[in-house]
Amino acid sequence: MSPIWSSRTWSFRTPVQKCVLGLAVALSVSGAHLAPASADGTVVIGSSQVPRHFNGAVQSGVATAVPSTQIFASPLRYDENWKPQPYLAESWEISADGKSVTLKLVKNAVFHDGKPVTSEDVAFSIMTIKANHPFQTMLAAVDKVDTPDPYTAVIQLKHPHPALLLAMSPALMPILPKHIYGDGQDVKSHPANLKPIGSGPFRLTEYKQGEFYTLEKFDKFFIPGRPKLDKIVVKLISDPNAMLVSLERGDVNALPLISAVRDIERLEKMPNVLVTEKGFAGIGPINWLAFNTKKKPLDDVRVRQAIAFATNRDFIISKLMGGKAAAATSPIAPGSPLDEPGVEMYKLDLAKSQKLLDDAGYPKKADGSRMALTIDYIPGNDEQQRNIAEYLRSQLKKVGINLDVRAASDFPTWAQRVSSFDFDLTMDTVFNWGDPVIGVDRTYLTSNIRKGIIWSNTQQYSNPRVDELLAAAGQETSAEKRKALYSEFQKIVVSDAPIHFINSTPYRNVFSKGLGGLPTTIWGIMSPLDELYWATPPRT
Amino acid sequence: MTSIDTPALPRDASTLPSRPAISPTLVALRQFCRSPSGVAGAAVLLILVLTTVFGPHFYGIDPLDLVDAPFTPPGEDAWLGTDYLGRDILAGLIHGGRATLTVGGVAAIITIAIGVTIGSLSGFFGGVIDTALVKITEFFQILPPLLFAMVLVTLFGQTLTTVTIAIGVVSWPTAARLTRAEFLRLRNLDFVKASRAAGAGNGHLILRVVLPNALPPIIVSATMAIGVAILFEGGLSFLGLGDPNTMSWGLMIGQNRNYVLDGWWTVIFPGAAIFVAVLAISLIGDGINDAINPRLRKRG
Repeated sequence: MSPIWSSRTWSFRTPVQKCVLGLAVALSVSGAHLAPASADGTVVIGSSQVPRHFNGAVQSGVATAVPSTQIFASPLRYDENWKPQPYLAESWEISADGKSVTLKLVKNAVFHDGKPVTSEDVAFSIMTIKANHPFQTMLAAVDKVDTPDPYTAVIQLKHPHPALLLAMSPALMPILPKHIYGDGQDVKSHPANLKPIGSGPFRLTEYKQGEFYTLEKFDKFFIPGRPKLDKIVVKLISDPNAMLVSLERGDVNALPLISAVRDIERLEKMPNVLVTEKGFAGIGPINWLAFNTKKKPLDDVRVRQAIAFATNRDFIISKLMGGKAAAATSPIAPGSPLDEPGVEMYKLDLAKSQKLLDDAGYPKKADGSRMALTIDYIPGNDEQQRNIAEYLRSQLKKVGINLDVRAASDFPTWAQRVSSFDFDLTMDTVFNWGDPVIGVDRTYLTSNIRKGIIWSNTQQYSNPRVDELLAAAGQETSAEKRKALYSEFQKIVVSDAPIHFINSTPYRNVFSKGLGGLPTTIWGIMSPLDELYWATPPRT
Repeated sequence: MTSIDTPALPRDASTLPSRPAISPTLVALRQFCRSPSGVAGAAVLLILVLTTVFGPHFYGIDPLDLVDAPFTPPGEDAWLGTDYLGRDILAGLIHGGRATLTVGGVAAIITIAIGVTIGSLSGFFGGVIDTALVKITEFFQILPPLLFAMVLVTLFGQTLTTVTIAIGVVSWPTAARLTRAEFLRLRNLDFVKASRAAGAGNGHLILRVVLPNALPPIIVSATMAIGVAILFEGGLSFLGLGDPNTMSWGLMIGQNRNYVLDGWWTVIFPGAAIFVAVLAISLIGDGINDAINPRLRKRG
């Protein structure tokens, strides 16, 4: 035996040596769960979105929606073309007056604890969501839910509510087990939110707070032959570079919701990776420049229009976002069947911008400036937010507007400023969430000017005609008439310019090549991954 | 010992022909000029200062303006290229240097002002005052300076003024301890006792008798503080806590760091500028130290 390996040299006697040994063991153990886990039936998803809990009935947002839609089933699901598909409801029927919707439930659906899914659970879930979900307009029209038999639920509405169909999507209407959540405890802080029981294709079997969660196949899932995978592991990785490297090495098989242009470009060059922009039509993310319409000089529509005319959207998209983003020109996101692209009126025109400012009574002073304004932005997403704010500072100087960029050190600081109306201009990103009633109305309704609440009508925009149109469109059952009402709404908002729409956030879902049944529907990764499978299993 | 205010020294030294009158400052200056590194440092810093003061008059591009396509490499269009928005890197260096050097200088002045005040009171009076001030100094010293500065900037807003004050406020304990040590050493020496016997008050003793004699190490420390403050500003900007409305070298690095693979020039040039500036200041500090520290002074 060589002296180096003699017991004298390598016996761990001192505390320091023991520590070193302990550390080495700890490192190798923690490394173990980071090792490739891509066995045939397993997909590993890397995500920076840490869920607070798994109950999408009381929590909005992507972080909860991704696991919640795997664990809980919903009445309907959607395809790539905004067409509702049967899920827990094998059929649905809207009454002639549009004031009731009858759902016929599948008879073989059971929760993860073996109890059957009945109309009682559907009724309980709808009323729970109505009472607790942050999207208050989503189910506001629901009066009650009748349950004539265990497999029939009749949703009674106060008035016709076409948005209900999209509100029955997996991300928005998880069906909760009444026998668990109906015990009288507050659903928002219910212990079952961290140990959820649903009727979806996967069961939550392990959650290590902030590190990973494991979803395993539910054997009694009501759709035969689904899910195709045995297991989904979602690894929570906060560093974007680490995420990209994990995917490149095959430690991770999917990265949802990547939006950084440089990351997208890097991923597109990786040979074993597929990058798709499908799967975000439902969320409808719009990146925009918002104005404080109650604050001088921005209370003058001509000043707001002047800023819109001075902004070169083409430059922002092609140069600052590498051409990866789509232009957004109206309050309804591109990709929605209700989007009206014809309303765009702001092509770069510095002369027109100058004239509008002159007309509004802000002539150029001796130093060439007309006014000084500030611009805020959401910290943490430089490409979509900070860079545009800085671009605008340079760009608006050309028409005599001195823009001061106000950095916020964290999200609450920004949200506090904007929700208390302490801002001139701000960059912002807001999601449509499928139907305008769910995610668009909140930004424009006079009744939703609510100080202290972020992503309400913080622009304090108020136009009676817009309020009327949104109220009418929300209840219009004819798809054609509804589209016409929303067209007029979009035209007015673009012309009133409480917001200048810039682009659709360039989200991408990224998958290892070899995966089949990719989630390319309008809800993408925020819908059940029961069709996902390994067409070509990865080498392990 | 270089005692400037030694009362025993004859006021009019020119009456002594055998020893030509040379002020200690002049001696130090002459000594400094003999240190090649010190002279080199001073020359480089002078060039940097002149460039940032007069440069904007000759190179009229606004550092915050978008002048070309993003990530234009160094070449004819933009001598040192453009950054992620298409802003001119050379304009950023020239204008940004002004902000960076100002932050360095002002923050160093704040550091020294607070440090010397507290250190001298503490060292001169001793006793309860000393104990209290030393505790305060220790309290500030145990706070991690970068974190403390981040908290200050977060609380009071991301402006260059806040950043400068924050750097000064977190950096003074070293200067205070140094000053206190010098005062403790000097306060019981004969020339101080002599001044006190001659009727000098505490204020006079601190400012006119002890402080001038404690100055040499403080000057060296002040010089170094400029370099540290410049690095500090770079660090804060790197973490996204710079002032987005004032171009500085630190801000250039901080904002471009995500794009280092897309355009190396966006980060390398401001990085080199900070490196050169801090190196020059450090060399000057060494030179001054050699010049005014009698233990290091070469005879002849």
